[in-house]
Amino acid sequence: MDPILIATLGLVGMFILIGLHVPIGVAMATAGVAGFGLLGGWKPALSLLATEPVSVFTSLDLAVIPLFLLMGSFAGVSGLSSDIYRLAYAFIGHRRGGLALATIGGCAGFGAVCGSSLATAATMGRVALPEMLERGYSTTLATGSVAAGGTLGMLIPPSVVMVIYAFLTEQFVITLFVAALIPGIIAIGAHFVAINILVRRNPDIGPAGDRMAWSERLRVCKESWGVLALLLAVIGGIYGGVFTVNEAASLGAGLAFFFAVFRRRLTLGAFWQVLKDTAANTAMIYLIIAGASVFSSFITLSKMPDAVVSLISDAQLQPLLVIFVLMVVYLILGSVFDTIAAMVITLPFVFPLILELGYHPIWFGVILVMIIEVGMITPPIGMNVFVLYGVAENIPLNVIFRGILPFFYADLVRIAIIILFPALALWLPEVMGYNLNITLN
Amino acid sequence: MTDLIESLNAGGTRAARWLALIGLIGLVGLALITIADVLMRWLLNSPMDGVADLGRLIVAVVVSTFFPLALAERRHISIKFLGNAFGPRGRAWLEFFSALVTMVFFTVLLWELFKFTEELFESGETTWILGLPVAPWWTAATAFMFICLPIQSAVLVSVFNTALAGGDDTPVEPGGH
Repeated sequence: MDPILIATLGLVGMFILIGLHVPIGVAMATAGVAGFGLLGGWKPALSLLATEPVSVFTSLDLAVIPLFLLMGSFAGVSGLSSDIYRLAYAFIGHRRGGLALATIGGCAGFGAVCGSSLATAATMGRVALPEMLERGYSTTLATGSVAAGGTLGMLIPPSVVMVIYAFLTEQFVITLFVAALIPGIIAIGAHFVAINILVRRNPDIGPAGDRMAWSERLRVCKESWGVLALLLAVIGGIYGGVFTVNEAASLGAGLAFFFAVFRRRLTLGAFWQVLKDTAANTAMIYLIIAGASVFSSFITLSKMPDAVVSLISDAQLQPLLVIFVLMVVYLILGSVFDTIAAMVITLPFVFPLILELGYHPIWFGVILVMIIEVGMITPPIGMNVFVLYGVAENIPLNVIFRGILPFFYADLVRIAIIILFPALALWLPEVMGYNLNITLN
Repeated sequence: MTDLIESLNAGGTRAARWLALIGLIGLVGLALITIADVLMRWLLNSPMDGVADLGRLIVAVVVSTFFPLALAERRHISIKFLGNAFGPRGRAWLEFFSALVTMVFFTVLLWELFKFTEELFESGETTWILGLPVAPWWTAATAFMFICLPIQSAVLVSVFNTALAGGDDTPVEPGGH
């Protein structure tokens, strides 16, 4: 049988399994083994089920995932999210829509010590949402800012999704983290602009709070030393070149644990919850990466990516048009699939195409994370919205989705900016001396 | 019968939790070794040898201890659109199918891991720098992963029973974990 036909059947089979509720990692591995078996024999196909998971389980690059998840869980338990929110509020809470601005700032800060969008949305939803509603903010602005701000957790390094992208495409994760810094700042800026436009048009939706005196602000800074220390150790350590990502993750997990114990927040119940979240999320992510590795081996053997690349090259499409089409596809995928799933399913096809078009894999990694991040707030699924729906009692889903709309538009604008100006992602790693030579897998 | 299945599930979850605790201790150990390496490098200008060697072995065992808990808690990344469209009974049978495929997958995976570990014993493979034998670590990892089988079996029986009873009325999140 024609390898391309087998690859197409494998792809269809995988989607059918996913549609039938089979865990995505299992569906990818099953389709991968079946397809590889038809193309290259059943013995090597079955042995993929040992070799690929073993290489995933023993990867030190991926070892940062459980460490960052642990850090995020301990940071959540120890109340660092409240600290960072208070800190942001102390400086910008007196502005119109100040609490929403503080929520975006808090989400960005908490994202930096957590690495997960869902955890950021859930944690900040519990902290910021009641505060905004109590102070007369409209439910649309309040929920929209938390759900949209939550997505920053995936973009602001350290990011679990970026670690997975770097692993699957054999890029240096630290280069990706550095490259995401300016786009991350632009993302925060875009959300700030969206809030400002909204409150200018209708001041009642986000009344200004009281301005804090500088002595009061200083006191808040002192009280928030824990989260500042954690940010400095993890982000400062990585960007300053003091620590490797693994070292920063280890130190971050250790510090977050220390704060949880020191603040007497680590009750037995909280400890089991941390254990359960870290263990289950780690296993889920490792399963999907192992499944993607098996599936990727099958797709590579079928030479389907080469066929896709030839097809696009022969059509002589403008590279920007291809990127535009890919972004639309990712937006749709991101709204239906889990973020990690959307990325791992498509990378075997898309990554060779990106290289062929002459784009930089680090730039594409940043773009990919950004567009998938927008998928987190796009109907019909938008995982962040569902998480917030669970946290916010009695707020209908359509109200949350309506609140997200201005942030969604702001996100599209800033993604277009990064697409049109790749230097915004690639300049910083270059001046900081990170290797931008393209490494191929 | 339902009581027996429930107690099997509860027992499986308890066992998986304690196993994950071992993994968490291992993860903290890995973090401590890494921090010690950083301190040695900073303070004494003498980094520890073979941290990466040891790290690779520890992380494999750590990750393997987490899988049983994920299965017991039924935490997966999956798409559940179809189930909500089919109603409680259809959804329950889809869940059974999903649990069955997962069971078969883990059985084959574990068989392959068992063969891989056996080959490691035969080859006597060691780590590059410290020269640690790799096989015992993978024996532990494979043994921990084997606990997935009874746990997933209990899950399978439980979802089968739910499907036979006509499913439950709780809708699932369409993109739920």
